[in-house]
Amino acid sequence: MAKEYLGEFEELVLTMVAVLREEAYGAMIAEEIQKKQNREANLSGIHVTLYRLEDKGLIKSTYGGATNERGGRRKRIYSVTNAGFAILRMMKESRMELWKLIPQLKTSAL
Amino acid sequence: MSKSGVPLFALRLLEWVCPEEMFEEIEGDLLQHFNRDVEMYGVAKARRIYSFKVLSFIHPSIFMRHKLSKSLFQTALIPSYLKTSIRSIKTNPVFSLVNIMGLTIGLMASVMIALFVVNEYNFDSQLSKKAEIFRIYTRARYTGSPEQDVALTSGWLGPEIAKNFGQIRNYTRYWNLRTKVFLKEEKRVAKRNVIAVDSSFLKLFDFKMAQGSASTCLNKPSSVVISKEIYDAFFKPGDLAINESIKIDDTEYIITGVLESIPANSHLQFDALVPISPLAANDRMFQLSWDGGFLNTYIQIDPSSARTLPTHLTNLFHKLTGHKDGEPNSELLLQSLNDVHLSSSQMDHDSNNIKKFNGQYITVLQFTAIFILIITGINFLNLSTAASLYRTKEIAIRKTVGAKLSQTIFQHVFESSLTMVTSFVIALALIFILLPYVNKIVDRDIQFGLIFRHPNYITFFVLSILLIISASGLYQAFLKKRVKVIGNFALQLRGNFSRGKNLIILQFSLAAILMVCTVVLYQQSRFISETDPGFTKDQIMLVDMNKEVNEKYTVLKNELLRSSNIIGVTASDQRLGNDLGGWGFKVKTDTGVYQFIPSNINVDLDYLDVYGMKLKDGRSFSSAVKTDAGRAFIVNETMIKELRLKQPVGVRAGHAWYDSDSLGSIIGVVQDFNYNSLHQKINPVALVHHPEWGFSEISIKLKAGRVNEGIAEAKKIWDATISSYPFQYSFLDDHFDTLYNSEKQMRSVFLIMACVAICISSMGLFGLVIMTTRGRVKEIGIRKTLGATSFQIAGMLSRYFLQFIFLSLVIACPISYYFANEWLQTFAYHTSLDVKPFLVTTFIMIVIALLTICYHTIRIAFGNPVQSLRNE
Repeated sequence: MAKEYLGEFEELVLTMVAVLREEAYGAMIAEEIQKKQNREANLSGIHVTLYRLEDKGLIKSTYGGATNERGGRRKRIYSVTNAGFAILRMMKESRMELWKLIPQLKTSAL
Repeated sequence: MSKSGVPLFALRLLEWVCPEEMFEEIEGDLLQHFNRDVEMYGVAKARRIYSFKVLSFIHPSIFMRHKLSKSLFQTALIPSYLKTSIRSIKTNPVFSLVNIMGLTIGLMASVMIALFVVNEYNFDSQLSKKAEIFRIYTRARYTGSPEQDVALTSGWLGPEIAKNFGQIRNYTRYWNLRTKVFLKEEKRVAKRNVIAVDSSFLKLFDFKMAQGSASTCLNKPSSVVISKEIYDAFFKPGDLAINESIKIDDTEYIITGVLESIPANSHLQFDALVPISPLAANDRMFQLSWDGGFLNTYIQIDPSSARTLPTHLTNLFHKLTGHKDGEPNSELLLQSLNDVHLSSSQMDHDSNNIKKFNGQYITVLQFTAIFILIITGINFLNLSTAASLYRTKEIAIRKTVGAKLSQTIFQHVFESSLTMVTSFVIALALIFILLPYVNKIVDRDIQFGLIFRHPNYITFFVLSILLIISASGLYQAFLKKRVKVIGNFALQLRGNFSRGKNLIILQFSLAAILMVCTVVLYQQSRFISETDPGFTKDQIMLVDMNKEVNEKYTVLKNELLRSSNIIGVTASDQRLGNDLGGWGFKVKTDTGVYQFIPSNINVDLDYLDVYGMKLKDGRSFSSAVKTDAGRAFIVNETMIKELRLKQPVGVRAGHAWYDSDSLGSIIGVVQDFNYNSLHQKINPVALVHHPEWGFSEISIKLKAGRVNEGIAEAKKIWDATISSYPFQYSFLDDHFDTLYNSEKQMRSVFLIMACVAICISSMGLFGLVIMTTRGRVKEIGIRKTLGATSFQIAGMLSRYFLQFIFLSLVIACPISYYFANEWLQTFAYHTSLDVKPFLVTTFIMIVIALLTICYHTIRIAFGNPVQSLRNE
């Protein structure tokens, strides 16, 4: 859990989990990625990534509510752990440091 | 949930792929997306998308998350499975008993055969140098006859080849001096196998010694190494026998070694060893000029030289004997010690090779064992399946409560394992108990622990058992998947029994083949005992002779003939009922002098009369004609045929060492007689009369019915006349019986195997009957209500099953005909292969099949149709 680096997709999924909070489950993550980022996200790929992230201890899960739409099947809601937040923070900082050095990316917000 | 919902196939696939923990959420997510897709694209496209999504879930990251151990070994449910297993055994004791019995018998038979086979391969294995030891044998070819392999070599061969060939690390000769009397302190014991060997013998054949040193014990000329039995006869346990003196046939010897008991699986069995060099120095049989082979020669070489050495040996042999173009055309060959026990069936004059066995029978036995294992496995499958028919309620309930496929499989594997392990344990226990009896039948000394020293065989059996268990478990589990849970758990078992039928046919075919072969074996045995060998075998008592007996022979003979219980007395230097020794023989025909090696016997004058041999031409030996001693030869028809002599009587002939100008002549032609087993063709034989050479055995023909009196009288006369040699006798017909030991053993084995196969197949049939009749209960009920009589039903059912028997017989006949024929061809003289074995087999199989099916068939056929139709 020290200096690990996440793959691009893993990072994306982890971020979505942090964003969606109570709605962070497989199908919703897939939809959000589709809507917000406009990229095709495979449901299986997302589930696999979620399991991997859980194995790495960056997220944890509980069973959530069942809805009619799901035919009564419960959801698995994920949430980011402290370690997960630590990695997110670290990644954000390291990205920013590099991006700061690129003149073309200099905007007033940075 | 069909056309308007998610595709079921995809859902089932998903269920199979996903581990339980994840299945629910994944299914839910897919469903959520599906419903959204239905709104957006419509049902058809949504279903397609769904299927694709499911396919994408087949990913190592998903299905590798299955916790293997959890799905295969459901330890939590074992107590429940145990309870139901025991319960099912209690409710169907007959079934379980039959099943276990069948398994046990089959396993027992296979393991027993494995033990025998391993024991045979293990002959001579205790010798550390076994891989490097080879036996030299002679292959002799006469014109017109097939080549003959003889285990004997010349007396001078050993030292000569050792001198000339560096590859020969060591050699030893092995010369059986036959019976000698051991005398120490007034106690006399006669032993049959006293062997003269080179001092290197115990270095090649490292038998364990109880006393004395193997490397030096045979160096001094008067040394003798005695067996444990001789030691026990003359010494008390713990006595030091070394340096004690003992007389062998009146010559003083010093004991230099005592052997531990020679293991039963050694092809060499002997009572005492003496050095051969002092004997060789004085005996003209060891000179280069001596033409005959009469002892065994073993050499120790690097196995890689075994291919090229024989040519060198043969060349040296021809060079030293000047035999190159003469008759017979002989060559020397090497036989590895590994092959001596199993590959010497065609070897002639091989009496020192004890308990040799035909290696081809071993292959047959191995195949039989595999057959039996196959039949047993099939049987187990069928019977277990049949038994499970009674438990469909239990299956249905388990399925309702949530049993998964893997759990069902595990349950059945568990039950099969229980049965199998029980049967295996019982089989091993039974083998342990029955081993002494088996040893008696096959004349071996098989140790139970033998099989544990051969990992190959253990792995084979363990694997077979595992295979049977898993096969039956899986098979049954899949059968049970088909059990539909209908309302009140009524039974509906769809299934075609064609697989079961095929298996039964296979089983019965194998059993039929074994049975036909057994009958043929017995037929040939009867043929052997009933064929007239060309001489009298019965009531002939054979008595060993030594020098004193030879000296007093005439006196002895006259005394014996005075008894009314003794019909005839004669003597010979060899016994009938084994290969006859041969030495060079010359015949002077119109075309020249023809030299070859026939079989020869030195006999007393009235030999042909006492043995009842028929003369075809000429006359027998007569005391009136003085030249009959040494210059008269009686030959058999085969020799006449080979030499193509038209007028044999009067033709000049003699031993190879006779001068060609002073030969004797052929005085008579005797009808061919089977002096050896019926495996061997009759060779050319010459009977000679050389009283001055001495004979080694007296043949006494006893009056039929007065055998015991005859023996007693003979012993009395003997003891009164002979002082230096005990009265040792045996009977010629017993001796001939030993020739067929392999066959007798195979006969018993095959009979047992055939019975085993029939038993197991019948049990299989039993199971099949139950399965099919249960399925046809309603059909039979309807037939009866429509007017069929019980007998008609019984007939219909019997015909249905008998057709399997006929089919298996049809399959079995050509196969067994082929094998039986091949086996009969190994005999030079054999009975013809007629319909009898096939008729007998057919009859027995039909009877047994009917017995097997009658119980159930009758119960069903005579049952009350009301019962069977009640559930409709």
